Amino acid sequence: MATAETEEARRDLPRMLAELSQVEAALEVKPVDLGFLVALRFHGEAHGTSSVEEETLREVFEGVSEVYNPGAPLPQKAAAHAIERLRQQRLLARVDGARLVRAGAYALTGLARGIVDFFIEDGALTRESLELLLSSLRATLTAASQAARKGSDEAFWDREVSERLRVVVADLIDAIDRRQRGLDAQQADIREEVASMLEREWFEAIDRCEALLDETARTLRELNGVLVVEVEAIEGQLQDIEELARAAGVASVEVAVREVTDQLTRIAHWGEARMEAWSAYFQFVQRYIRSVVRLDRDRAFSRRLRELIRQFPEREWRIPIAQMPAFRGLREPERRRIEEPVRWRRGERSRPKDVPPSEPDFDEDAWARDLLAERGAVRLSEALEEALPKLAEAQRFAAVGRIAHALATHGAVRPVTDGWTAVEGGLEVQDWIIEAREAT
Amino acid sequence: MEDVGPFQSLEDVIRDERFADVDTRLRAGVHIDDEDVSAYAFLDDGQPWLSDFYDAYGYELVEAQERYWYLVPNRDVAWAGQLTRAEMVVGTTLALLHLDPTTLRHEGRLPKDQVLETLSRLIEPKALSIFLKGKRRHHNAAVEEEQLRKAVDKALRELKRLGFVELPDSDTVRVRSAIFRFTEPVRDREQRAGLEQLVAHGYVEAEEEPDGDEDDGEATVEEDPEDRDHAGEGS
Repeated sequence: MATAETEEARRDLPRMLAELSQVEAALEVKPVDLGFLVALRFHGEAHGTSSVEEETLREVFEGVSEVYNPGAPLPQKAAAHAIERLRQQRLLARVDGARLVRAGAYALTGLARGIVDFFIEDGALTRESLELLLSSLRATLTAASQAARKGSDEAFWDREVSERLRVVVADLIDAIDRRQRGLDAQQADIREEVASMLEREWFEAIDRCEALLDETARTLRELNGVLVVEVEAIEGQLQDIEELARAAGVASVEVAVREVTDQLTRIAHWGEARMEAWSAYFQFVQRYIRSVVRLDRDRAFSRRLRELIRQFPEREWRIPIAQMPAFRGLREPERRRIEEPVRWRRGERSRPKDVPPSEPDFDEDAWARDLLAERGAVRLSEALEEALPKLAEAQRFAAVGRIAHALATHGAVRPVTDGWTAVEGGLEVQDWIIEAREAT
Repeated sequence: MEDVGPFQSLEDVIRDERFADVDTRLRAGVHIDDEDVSAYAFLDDGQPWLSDFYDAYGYELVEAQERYWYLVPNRDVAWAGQLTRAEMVVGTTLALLHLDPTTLRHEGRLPKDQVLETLSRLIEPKALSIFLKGKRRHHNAAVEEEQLRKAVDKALRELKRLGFVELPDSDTVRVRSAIFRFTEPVRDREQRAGLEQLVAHGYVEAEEEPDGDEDDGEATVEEDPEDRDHAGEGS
């Protein structure tokens, strides 16, 4: 795909060059014009507008001119020329269209925005700029949230909420993003500077290196602190808008909110990742300063080490290392727990704890034998109705099992098929008919 | 991870779950630095008992100023080894490169090729061939370079095993704190005195001169008779 596109571009290149040459397309941006473009961009960001009235345009230019050419005569004339230059090069465009107004309104073109982006991209994130950007973000989200509460038709949601999220919020996040990249570049420069300072001045550079490292660490800590606090609050606002949108059934807003949340998470993650990376670098340099620079004031280690390597053919030396057999002090193996099979002692199973056995004078076995001898056959439920009142209530549940067991021992059991029968004390049993055996 | 307070006895130290791993590594000549947080803390806490324990084997448990632990054999102890010539020259070169502040830019990471480039500037080709490969130069320059590269790789792998370096990818070396062991002889004001003092303490051992093979321009398969020594073993 990419290859095909490249091929196409190559084929079209001669034609494109011919066209550009024919229209004599050129760009010539003087330093003061570049400053003017950057100032317009900042003016737009500060006032939340992309268009500027001609009078304001002139005021902005005069401010810029004061920096570039202090005391230059006829600033108004210079401003008019600069505006004209930028218009001709399609860096400034009139945006008042066909409306008949005396003084026009202007805006930066895409080309101008690209140029400004390129030059201010390196502007690094500072605590102040981050706080400013994040508070603008919060203000925009508050406005979006208020609009969401009013709610109306889909067009209203699109205009008041989605648009704000897509354009304003995306721009602000983009601005933070750019400054983060600027800070990344700044940190790379600091690494370079630390290495160069030590290379040049060695011991004398320690204090400045440490100050530089501390300052960067402090900046990152502050930025991360601001990010942690602000991002949490902003996420709350976004969640609020998302819930309102869901309740109103506006899916497009939900999508926009999720996109902004993702970008915000990425920004917060950046802060954390940079903190970690800087902390590792900080420790590494500190250790280097401690172990090398401070111990080797006159930088003799390197010289001697180089000499040692050179002399190695004549003067070999070796570092001794351990080569010991393994430690034989074996540990006592842990005794494996042997799982005993679960087994109940006969007679204890049906006797609940804390319940004394049934009265010693009630012999279930003898009673069952006598009952069967007397009646020949008996229902379990009937037998229990007679036996249970003889026992304390707490003992009855356990006694049912023993009585049933005694009856079954002395008789032949035949189940009754009509289910459960209620007996004394709220108990139920599956009824049996027990018939006395012929001879026991 | 289990939070182990100061130990009360050697038995406590040996019963610690980290003992087997740390002990095995130390006995194999590995250097344990504070990047290995758990093992380092274990050695920190167990040092009073472990020092006596290894002393019984004729070893000293050392904590270097740059925060790494290792065992160093006393002079006449059995079971002691030493680095090979190739490992020595590669290790010393890495230490030299590490002392250069330019390595700060990448937190101690440096291209592997830089080792051979530096060595080639410091040691004349014949001797370098013997040290790194254990044999004479190959008449074909490309083959020779490839062989040297392989020899450096082999030495780096062993230095990695011993905890001196890390090899994050096939082209990069990252030095660890233990690389400072190679700077021990030069820390003294007078290098010679430093070396001799360390020899007296059993930290480094000077060897006889290497066999001076003449370069006849032919490829040879002659092996350097010396490889990793086992000083004192069996004597």
